[in-house]
Amino acid sequence: MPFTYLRRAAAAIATSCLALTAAASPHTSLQGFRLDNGLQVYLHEDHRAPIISAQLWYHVGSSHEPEGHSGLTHALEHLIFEGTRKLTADQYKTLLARLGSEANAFTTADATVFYQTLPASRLEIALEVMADSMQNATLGEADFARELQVIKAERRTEVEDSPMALAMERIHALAYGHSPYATPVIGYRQYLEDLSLATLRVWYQTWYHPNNATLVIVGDTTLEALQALVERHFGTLSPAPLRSRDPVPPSDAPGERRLVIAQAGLGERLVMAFNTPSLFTAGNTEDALALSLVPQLLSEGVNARLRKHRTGSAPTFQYLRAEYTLVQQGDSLLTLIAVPNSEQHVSLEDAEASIWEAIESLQYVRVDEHELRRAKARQLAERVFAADDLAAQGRAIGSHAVSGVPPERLEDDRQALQNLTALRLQQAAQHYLTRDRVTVAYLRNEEKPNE
Amino acid sequence: MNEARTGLLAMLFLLACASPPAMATQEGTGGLTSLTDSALPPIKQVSPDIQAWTTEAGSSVMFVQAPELPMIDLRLRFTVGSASDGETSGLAALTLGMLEKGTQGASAEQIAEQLDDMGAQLSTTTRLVHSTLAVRSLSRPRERDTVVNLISAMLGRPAMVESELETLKTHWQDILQGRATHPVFQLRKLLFDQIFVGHPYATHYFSGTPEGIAALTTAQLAAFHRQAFTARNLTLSIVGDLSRQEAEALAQQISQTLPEGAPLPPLPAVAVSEPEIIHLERPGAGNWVGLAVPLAINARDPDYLALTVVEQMLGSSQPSRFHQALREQRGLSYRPSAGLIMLEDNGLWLMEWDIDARFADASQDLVQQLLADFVAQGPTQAELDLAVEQVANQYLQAVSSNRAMADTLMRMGQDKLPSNYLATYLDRMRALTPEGVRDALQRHFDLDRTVLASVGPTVEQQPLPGPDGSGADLQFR
Repeated sequence: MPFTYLRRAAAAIATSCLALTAAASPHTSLQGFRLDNGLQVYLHEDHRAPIISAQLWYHVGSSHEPEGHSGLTHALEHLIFEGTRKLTADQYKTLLARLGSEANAFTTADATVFYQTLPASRLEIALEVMADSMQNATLGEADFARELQVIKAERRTEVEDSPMALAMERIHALAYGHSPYATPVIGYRQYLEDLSLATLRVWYQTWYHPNNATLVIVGDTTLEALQALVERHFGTLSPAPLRSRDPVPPSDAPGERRLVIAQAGLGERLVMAFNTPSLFTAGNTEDALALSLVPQLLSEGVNARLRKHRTGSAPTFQYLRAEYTLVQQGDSLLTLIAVPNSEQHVSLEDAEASIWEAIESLQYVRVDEHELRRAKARQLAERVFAADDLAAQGRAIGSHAVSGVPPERLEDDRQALQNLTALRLQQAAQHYLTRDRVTVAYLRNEEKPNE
Repeated sequence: MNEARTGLLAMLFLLACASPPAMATQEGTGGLTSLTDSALPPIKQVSPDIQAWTTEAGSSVMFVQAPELPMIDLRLRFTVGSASDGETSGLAALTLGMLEKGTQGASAEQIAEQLDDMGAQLSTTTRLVHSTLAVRSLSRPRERDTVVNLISAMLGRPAMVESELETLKTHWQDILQGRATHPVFQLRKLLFDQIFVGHPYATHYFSGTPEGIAALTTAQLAAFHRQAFTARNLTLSIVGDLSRQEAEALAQQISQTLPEGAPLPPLPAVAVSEPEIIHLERPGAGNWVGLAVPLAINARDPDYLALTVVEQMLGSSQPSRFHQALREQRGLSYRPSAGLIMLEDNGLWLMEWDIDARFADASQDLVQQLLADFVAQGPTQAELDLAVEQVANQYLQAVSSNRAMADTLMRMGQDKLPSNYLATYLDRMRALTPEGVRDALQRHFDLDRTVLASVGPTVEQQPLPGPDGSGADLQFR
């Protein structure tokens, strides 16, 4: 299977029109083919039950949005549910509800995803509906006005009513800087106010094409059966020349950034976000996989280093969470959120010092073999457990595809993770967990004067 | 409700849109070529082979063998929860929490290390009427045996070390603080306080108070452990790559290690509650609004099935009237949700929605009227047909993965349903009629006892905009 492993995958896919070929990768049970019009299809067979997860991944997310148009991609995702040439909005939604147990969509920085988990016998209908909405969405005026209200309600409920979510939005913006990954997927409120249907229509015509999409199928079907159905319903769609996205500047080491956010209802928290490469932008897989072990070593799992950190006889932290965005087309972040132990009067400054101490220890002292093996054991077991969840498997395949990493590499990465050395981990910590890559935020609860 | 970790990061990285389907106002398949008449291709029937038995010590076990993946899912559910806290608030939650914090053979750190070494996952939850451990492990004998030995020791011989309790208390105070300040928890607490006035279901809704947690001692926890975590209170669900014989041995090992204490006193009866309208002032951008109707029913009642389909027709994520009214027609709410909350032989029908503060009152009127109409008239045949199809889809999902199967078994155990319950489930569902559903609704929904609550800022109220967006300034603020 000819895959191009380029930094700008969306653009690369546009130019490639390959004959319909099917080939099983030698390393995995992942199979795939590409239609003449450029639609990439992946199949992971799972015959445990007569059920299928079908996911259509468009290679357009919030990071593709031009400046001043945040929220455009997510708004378009909402509007796709409002009907097509073949189905009215009511027919569309009713049919989705009847077809399977779950039909919905989500938007990320890299992708817009429509998915459905449904009985295997109904796959063809789901595929026809997906194909229909790729080029024939209605995008009507009245639906737009109402759905825009829903999106604003979503922003109110999910972000504006949550001091922490608002704070994270600001921290992200600072950490990502000039990168298009800085803007929130849902969009800033002032842009939602200005959003027009005409803009959405242009966005739809720009990105919703077979040569800008990946169809992921996990479940109870065969490659032969799937090929016939995909060819029947997607084969007639025409590809379109794709606009190449604006280049995403690498984040590198932009210097230390700090902010203090004091707001009513905000708990006392420390957030540290390091600019890191992703699996796609890292020059090599090992760096990214090494970074993926850092949350494990520092904060995830009861025996992680920071969880065991004590001030006096009590734990230094009341709450800890670290997350590294491994799969993303642009550079990403490794983010740590910590709540210092208030009963022990641990200050944000003390908490930050303890975290730097733990990071420096990863940089100066090589992790011992047992601790490394333990950190890997959890991740490796998680990869086994993931096979139980069709939709999660589909998401792993799709998110790799839209970030420019061939999903065939999922299996290779498992092996690479197993082989990762303590030296490699130490080097990654030295290179990426540095002060000139960090954004540090102190969050404080600011009570109103009368309270 | 016990998750200490919130998806603070996740919510910014991935925004679920939750565009739920609309009500079946328009039948038909449009211009589709793959579906020319209205009947969908049938679902292949799946009947999991559920094996059930009782261990010598008295635990009930349900088991489904799933050899395809090298893993095991366990659910250990004890039929005692925070409602049994009595005068010692937080007792159930902290007792469960302390099980991970050291056994007579291993420290908290050693337990955590061993679980991590095996790549195993363990989570615990305390609710009003049950306490649960969920375990996921690789099924190779090395991992499985290590994990089962650990679980047995945790449940049978917890160390209840003083210093670990202090740490756990700090952690729990943090969780309680989060609940007490979260608008959805605040809303539910208002509703529970009114519907279960004076009952442990209301008193212990948060699974602890700051004062109660602070006062708890290891001796109290140890005593509660002996009374609550007994073999007779355990229902054990097992799904995965192991034989019946191995499953029996596993169940036997866990069950026989459990303490044998005097049973806990039964919970008091739930009194008849009064209707009320309650508001809690809270700064913010919008209001959270709730409507609750008390129910006296359990899952073994013949009418329960009808109420389950009502969850589709009037509930959260499906093409329900509720969704239609608030989100699909008016774009007023992002996340209207509704469903049954069951507590042994009682429960409530709960509807919750987020809304611009100006429309809080008017939306309550709208939803109240919508519910009254539905109870009076029952569903249409088309609504019922669609709901039954949705239930069939959900059923397929519920038996299709190991995780879902384990959860399904756990709920069956909790509800004391027989192991052949699923075999006839869909047939019984398909036999429902609109009149039957309406009659069941009228038997169980006493709308004169409806409680309404809202949490958020108070602003000048306005009428709702019409379904076409007319009648009000919808400018977002």
